Amino acid sequence: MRHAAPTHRRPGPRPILSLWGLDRVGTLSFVVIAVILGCIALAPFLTGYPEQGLGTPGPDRLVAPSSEHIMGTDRLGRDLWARILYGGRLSVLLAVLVVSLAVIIGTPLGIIAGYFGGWVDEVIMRVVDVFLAFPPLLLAIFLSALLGPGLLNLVLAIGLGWWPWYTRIARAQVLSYRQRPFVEAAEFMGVHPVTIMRRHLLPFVGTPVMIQSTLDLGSAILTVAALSFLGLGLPPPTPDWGQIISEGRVYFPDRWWYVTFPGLAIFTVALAFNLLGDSIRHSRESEHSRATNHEPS
Amino acid sequence: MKLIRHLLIAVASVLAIQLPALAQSPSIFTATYSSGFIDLDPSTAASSEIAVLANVYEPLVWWQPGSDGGDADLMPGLATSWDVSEDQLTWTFKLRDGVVFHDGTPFTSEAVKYSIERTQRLEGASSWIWWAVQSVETPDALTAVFKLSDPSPIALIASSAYNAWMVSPSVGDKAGDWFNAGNAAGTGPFTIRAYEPGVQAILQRFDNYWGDKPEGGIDIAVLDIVEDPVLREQRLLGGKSDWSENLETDNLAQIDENPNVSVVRFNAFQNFFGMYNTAKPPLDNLAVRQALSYAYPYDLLVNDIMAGQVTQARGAVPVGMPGHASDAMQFSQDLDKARQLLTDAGIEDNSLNLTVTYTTGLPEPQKAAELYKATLAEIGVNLTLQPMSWEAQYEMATADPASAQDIFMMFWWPTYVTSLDFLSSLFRSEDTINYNLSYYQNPAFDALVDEGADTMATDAAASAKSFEEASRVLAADAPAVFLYDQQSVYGVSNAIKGYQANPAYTNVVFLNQISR
Amino acid sequence: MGTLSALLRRLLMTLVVIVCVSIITFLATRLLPTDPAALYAGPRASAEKIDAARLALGLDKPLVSQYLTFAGDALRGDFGVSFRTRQPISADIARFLPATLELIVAAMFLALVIGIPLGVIAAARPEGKLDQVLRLFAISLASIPGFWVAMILQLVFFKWLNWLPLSGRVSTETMLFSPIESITGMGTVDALITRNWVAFRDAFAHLILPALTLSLYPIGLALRMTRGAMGAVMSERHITTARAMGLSQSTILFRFALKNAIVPVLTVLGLTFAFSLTGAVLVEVIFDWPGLGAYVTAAILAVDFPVIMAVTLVGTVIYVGINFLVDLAQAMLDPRVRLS
Repeated sequence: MRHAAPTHRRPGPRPILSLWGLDRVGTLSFVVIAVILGCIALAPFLTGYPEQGLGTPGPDRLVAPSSEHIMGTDRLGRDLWARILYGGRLSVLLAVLVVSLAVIIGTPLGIIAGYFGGWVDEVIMRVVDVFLAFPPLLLAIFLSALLGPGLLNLVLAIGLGWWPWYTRIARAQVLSYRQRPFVEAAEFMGVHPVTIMRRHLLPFVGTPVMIQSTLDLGSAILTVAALSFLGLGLPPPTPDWGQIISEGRVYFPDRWWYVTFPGLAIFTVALAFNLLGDSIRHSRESEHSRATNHEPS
Repeated sequence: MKLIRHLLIAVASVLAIQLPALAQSPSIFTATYSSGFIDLDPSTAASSEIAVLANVYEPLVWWQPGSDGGDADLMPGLATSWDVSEDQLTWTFKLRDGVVFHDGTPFTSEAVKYSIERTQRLEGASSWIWWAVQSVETPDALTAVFKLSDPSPIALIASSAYNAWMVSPSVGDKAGDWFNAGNAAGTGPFTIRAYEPGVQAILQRFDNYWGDKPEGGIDIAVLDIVEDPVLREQRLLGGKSDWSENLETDNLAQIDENPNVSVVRFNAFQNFFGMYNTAKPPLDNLAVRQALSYAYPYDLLVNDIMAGQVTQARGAVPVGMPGHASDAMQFSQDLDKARQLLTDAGIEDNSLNLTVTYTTGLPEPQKAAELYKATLAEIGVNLTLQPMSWEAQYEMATADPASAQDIFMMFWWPTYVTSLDFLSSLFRSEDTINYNLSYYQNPAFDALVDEGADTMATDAAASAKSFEEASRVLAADAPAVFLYDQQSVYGVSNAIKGYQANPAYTNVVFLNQISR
Repeated sequence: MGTLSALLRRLLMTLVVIVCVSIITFLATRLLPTDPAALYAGPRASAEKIDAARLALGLDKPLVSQYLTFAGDALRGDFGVSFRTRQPISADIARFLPATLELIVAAMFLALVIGIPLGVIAAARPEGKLDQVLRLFAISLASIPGFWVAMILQLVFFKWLNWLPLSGRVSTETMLFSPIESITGMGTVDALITRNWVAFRDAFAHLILPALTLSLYPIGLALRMTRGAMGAVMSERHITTARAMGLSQSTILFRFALKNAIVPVLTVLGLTFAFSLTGAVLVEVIFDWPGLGAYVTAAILAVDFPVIMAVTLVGTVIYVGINFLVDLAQAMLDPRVRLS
């Protein structure tokens, strides 16, 4: 599901613990994300059962957490910690791809629409309207049912519904910088429009797009999990977290570990991305309000 | 707008089925099914809806499993006795007297004629069972005579779970829509009180049923559709349901521990296997098929993953069915042999990439496929798992064998109790692909199957022998990896007495046999 | 531009968007790898039957005429027959839509009743401890997988405490002994109208867990949007004046500030509805709630494309319609907001 429009604003004091201007919560989220990315990157070294993480059945099925299997084992005897590490690679990769796709399609279109205006703007924004007309998850469900299982299909199914948000953000930014003297000067000097858009406008679009995409990474993790849970995810045996939950659901609550750990993994990552995004927005906005010194409205 | 009209109609129909609240407290039975009833037309229904139909309608003959090791037998249903002529082409059924349909129409030979002709006319999926019937004659009200073109075991066929139910002639030309709106016209001990497609069917005792109601028999049965295995299990354990099918194998022991619920098991004529694509390389090569069959970890699947709830299959015909060959070839895991066979077939390590398709939403095929992938990796074969809906899977398999899957995993069960449905429907050569999804072609095998089919009506023993021989040929030729023969496993409330499953009628609870 | 012409323009835009959506949905299903005719003919169908189905579905005609037929039928509320249930899809939708709406309305109610007051409280002391905690709370709600929460709710309230039913809309007992007379199709509402108290209690109990699960995300949303809108209003001059006049904090918050923040709150209403509409898919599956979400999920597994198409279309039309109404209401309440 998609994140709501930004609303939370404050001209607060400069955070004490700061990492690139982030507040405490933001810094902590950043660290958590870094640790999780590190874990999934180093997956083969962090588990004694790397082959089980990739799908090979193990000897002891549905075993409760123990010193040998810290998160227990699944229905085919695979170490759940290994499964979660390897599944995390997939979940995070999918989320990154989805958001990248949305950014790559959405941002240039937004810049073009904002820069040229007129009928170009009109056409692009009407297409945006059509895509935004679909209820968020429904379009993803529709497309993934249509495209069938597969990594790229899943990315397309979700990403195709998300790019219009970036078009809107980018366009709004460009509109507010379009009439600035440096842009007009460049135009006057005959600089090619592509260069103007790339050199002079793209930098202003970067920050809001980055904030939105951080927030979207959290939503993407959740959406991928939801689609996998509905059986629209990737084919086994390399399931992402949503699929592990969907598999393990039938064993709940007697084998509680099966859904609890992947659920916590999804929650932690989504929360970290959401907090980080929120925190970046926070700090940018307070900087902005200090710089321009106008009342937030 | 039509939607609004539909809305009104839906509201009106909901109002219509809202019968007055019941005054006294009737005895209620609640069953939970895993998949929706699709087609309640008794002449065309081909799937799980027999759970409803077998209580609302009756056939001429019932198939009865042998009790205490005895032989299976055919039991009178709406026919009390039957006879076949010397030349095997005329079957005479004496009908039960004093039977009425739910609408009050008396059951007579005209109804038999009407039902068979209706089935033939509507050409439902299982209507082929009556292929040899040329006409049904009605010399008197309680005698029906079947005239055949070829010898065919009509009494056995009349016990079919599909498309052999007796329907009231008052139905006339009404088609499936009428039935699927919740109407029924049978003679069975129950009538349909309310029906909501995909959600539930409520059955109610038919007061003018010819048979007896057992002591403490139930009055109302609620058949709920709950696709989610978790909810089925929780409902059963929470006392919200008296009976459930398709429970998670790994949870059966825990379910059995519940003081109010028992897990019961019955023989079933259902098996599970993976069809090899014999129409294209590399699985057109017997050695490769053998290698793949030697690679499967049967022990692990049967005894561990399926917790001993199933037995390893021996050929295509499930155990307990006439035609099952107890000495047919049975593979066991032998990875060295598998590797050797692949090498001999000239296949290099890690050069083989195969695809397996199976139906999504069921846990067993996925577990079986994941095991296969892991073990094939050990002999240098890469297997890609492709879960699909049944329809998509079937579509892919029947479109073009040359671009179809390499292995097609599926369950199978017979229309009526005959191994013909396994040997012929699944493996006999086909011009247009129907269910021979391994695209297997072997004239010698076909001849044996035909021989068995021809003698089925006249000489059951000879027929079984031909089928057994066909089973042996087939097992050795490995057109499929035969995984397991299934048992039916149900969770049943301890308050229910007299429950018996009948393998010929998959997942039917015979409501007039149980009590609480 | 006059208000009326702006309104008409906005309405026209909405219609154009709906037409485009229908074209996209239609084209997408025609690019399908599986043959709709084979699906329609059903399992074990012969080649002749499949050919007959192709003719019956009009799949032999050119794409444009196929679309026109589809659009014409859809306009009249006719979406064809489901491959899976063999029922007219519009009848199915008419049957399942009220259940979904009941769930969504209940979830929206929870979201507004819980989310807005919390948002107001958070805005009372910007950057205070409570504001921070509530911000964390709202973001957590947006980060938690709903299907996971649903499982835990079922475990706690059905299995352990046995306070609430596990799934479904009413119990078997209610259905047989005090059936709800269907008027709106929404169980609790109908039971209330007909004063069927036994059934109302039962239907209400069945509604609690799914509605709660569905409301989690919207609660967070309502909280944050209210907090944001209030934050802006609170610093406006007349509030500062009110504060200077010594009015109590709660009077300021709920009488003045919230009143001025009503337009953003309306946006909350629209957004909440949208998110509930899609969130309902997962919730209905887990709670076996016979609504559109469960219907479309079953359709997906069976590649039942007419149903997937119809539900996507109906869902989109409802979504677009609600957005339009919200915009309209905003424009009426606040002359500064223009329809464009």
